[in-house]
Amino acid sequence: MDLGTFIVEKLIVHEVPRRTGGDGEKPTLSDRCSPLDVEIRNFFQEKIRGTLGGGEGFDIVPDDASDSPVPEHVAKILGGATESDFVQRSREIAGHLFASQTGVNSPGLLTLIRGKVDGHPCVVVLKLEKEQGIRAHLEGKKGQQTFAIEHLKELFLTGKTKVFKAAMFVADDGAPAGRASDDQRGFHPRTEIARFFLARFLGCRLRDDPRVLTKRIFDASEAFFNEEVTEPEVRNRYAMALMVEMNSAHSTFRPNQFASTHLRHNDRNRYREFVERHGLPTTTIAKDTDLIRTRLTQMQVDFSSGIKLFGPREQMEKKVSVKSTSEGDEVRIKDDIERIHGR
Amino acid sequence: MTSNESTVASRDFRCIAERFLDELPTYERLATEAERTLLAGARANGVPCEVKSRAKDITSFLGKVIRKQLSNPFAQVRDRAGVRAIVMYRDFIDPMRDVVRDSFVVLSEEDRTVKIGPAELGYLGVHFDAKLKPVSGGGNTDLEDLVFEIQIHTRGQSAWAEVSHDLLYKTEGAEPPKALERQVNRAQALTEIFDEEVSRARAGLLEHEGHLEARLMSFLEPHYLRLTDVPHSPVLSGEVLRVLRATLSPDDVSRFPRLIAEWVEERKTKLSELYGLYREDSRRNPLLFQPETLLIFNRIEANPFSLRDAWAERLPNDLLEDLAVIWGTPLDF
Repeated sequence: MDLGTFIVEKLIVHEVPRRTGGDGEKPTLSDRCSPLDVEIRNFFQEKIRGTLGGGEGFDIVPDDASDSPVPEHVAKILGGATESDFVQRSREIAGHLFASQTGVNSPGLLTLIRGKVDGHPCVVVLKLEKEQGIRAHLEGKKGQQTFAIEHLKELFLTGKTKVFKAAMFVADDGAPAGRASDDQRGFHPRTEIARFFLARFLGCRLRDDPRVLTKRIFDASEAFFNEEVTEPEVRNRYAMALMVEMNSAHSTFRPNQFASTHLRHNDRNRYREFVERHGLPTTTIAKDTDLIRTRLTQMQVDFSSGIKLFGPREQMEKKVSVKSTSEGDEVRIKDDIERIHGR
Repeated sequence: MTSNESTVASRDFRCIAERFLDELPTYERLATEAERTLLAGARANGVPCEVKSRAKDITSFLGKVIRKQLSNPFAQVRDRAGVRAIVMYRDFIDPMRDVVRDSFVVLSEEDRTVKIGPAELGYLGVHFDAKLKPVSGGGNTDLEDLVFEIQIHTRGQSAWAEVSHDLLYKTEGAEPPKALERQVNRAQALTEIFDEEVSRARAGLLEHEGHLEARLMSFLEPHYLRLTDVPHSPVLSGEVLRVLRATLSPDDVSRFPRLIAEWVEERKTKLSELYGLYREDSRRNPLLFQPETLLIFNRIEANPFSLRDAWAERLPNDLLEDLAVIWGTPLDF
């Protein structure tokens, strides 16, 4: 999906209030699409490209186990709905959003977009939350100038908003599939709040199993260090950095970010290309280290002579140093020998 | 009074003038259409030029009828509509000639620079008599049989055209003095020297190691012109290209013409649509309609890390980040 080709054709907005259990509260629904000019269209296009194309975007598919009506509505729109059908389905999706929220979910605007990406029809679902801002305009009274300050409470999607709840669907063998982003702690969540947008509202799940993807990126990264980096001390440093990232509390692993933070200048792009060649995303991967857990606790160095050195990662980091010499790679261990025995 | 003079004198200029004025709106449309067609052809072929057009006014037409004693003015005057393409450098004359031959039905073609005598007043450059090509589906069918003139001039030749036009009328009908002949000769030679030296300076600049930016721009600009007709600023280009050159390896530089041509060809639909989306957007990124932005997009794909590092040293980050978002590949790492 080339998000750079995404264009907005039609857009409709509904307001979905917070659910407080009060009588009469319900969404405020539009009856027709909003008028759009060139600047508004481009603004939405840029915002959606930015949030879905960046480090908070994940590939998604409908979850067959979910009872959310969103995938079916999306499929019908992708199949060629009339404008009135598009409007009606967007109203039903707004109703579903309201019904599936609880008091902890923020109010906002449910925005549905019909558009094109890569020349094919697409549907975009946005949940936009209110922001506040200050506006100042110069005014002169009785010959004296001042800036009148106005508090704006009805702002949505400002220039500074980088990531927000968004999902783009395209037809994929009849069923919708696509990409989603959420400003709330990624998509491999452990809390209800973080699960809400993807699972409860959209009725979708991550396309790729995070455990499998995490293992694949771990393997690919290690392969890159060993195949493409000649200096052993640099390889060691990279391997340590990878393990630290994998063991961190972050719910995602971002290959581009990893390269930018930990790799030398001339290794960064080569790492990115290596990851791409292995069919892996370079922006972000939902992290689950279940399949590589033991590999994250132990490190091993294999020598061409058959000698193997292994131990707990933290201790290897503290006590083992590696460097290149004219006579081969030299490994220094600063520790007390406890026992020497046959194996 | 000679018979020719009596023929001219007795002609009913009122009839000629009335017919001319009746037909003037048609020739104005012809001039506009020819200008539009020539400009589109130049852009499609990546030839930078300025194009002007005009329909001959009644004073000029009648003056020509009288001066040249024309017996059949409406057939003999073939420049009632005229288009002039002015190119910056002599090297663009031949590509522009190809554009004219491809875009119009050419009735005659003349290189006036070769034909004109050394001390002769008159226009230089390449001149054509042409007609519009028939357009399928109708359109301007009433214009298709009308002849008009196309001139291709360099800047020097265009400046000479303005001056010699004025001198021509001041000397016509009388033998110019020898001193004037020598002056005209020198002025023409200066025009040629100007064009030649400008072209040589350009060629030297493009070949010089220290002017890689100029060379890169010479390859980027034709692709940009094919994709959009929005004018760009050469001042901005210099600044950005100084940054971008740092992101190109020696291998990239040596095969740059092919690298950028292939890259643009693969993405021309996306690029054309992008330029269409932002053409009327007043809040657009100031770098978007610049030829060097083709290279920025290329570098975002090829090596975003070195691009971002090089950019951060000299230019505001938000300009690059916005372009990356527009391209669909945010640089949020």
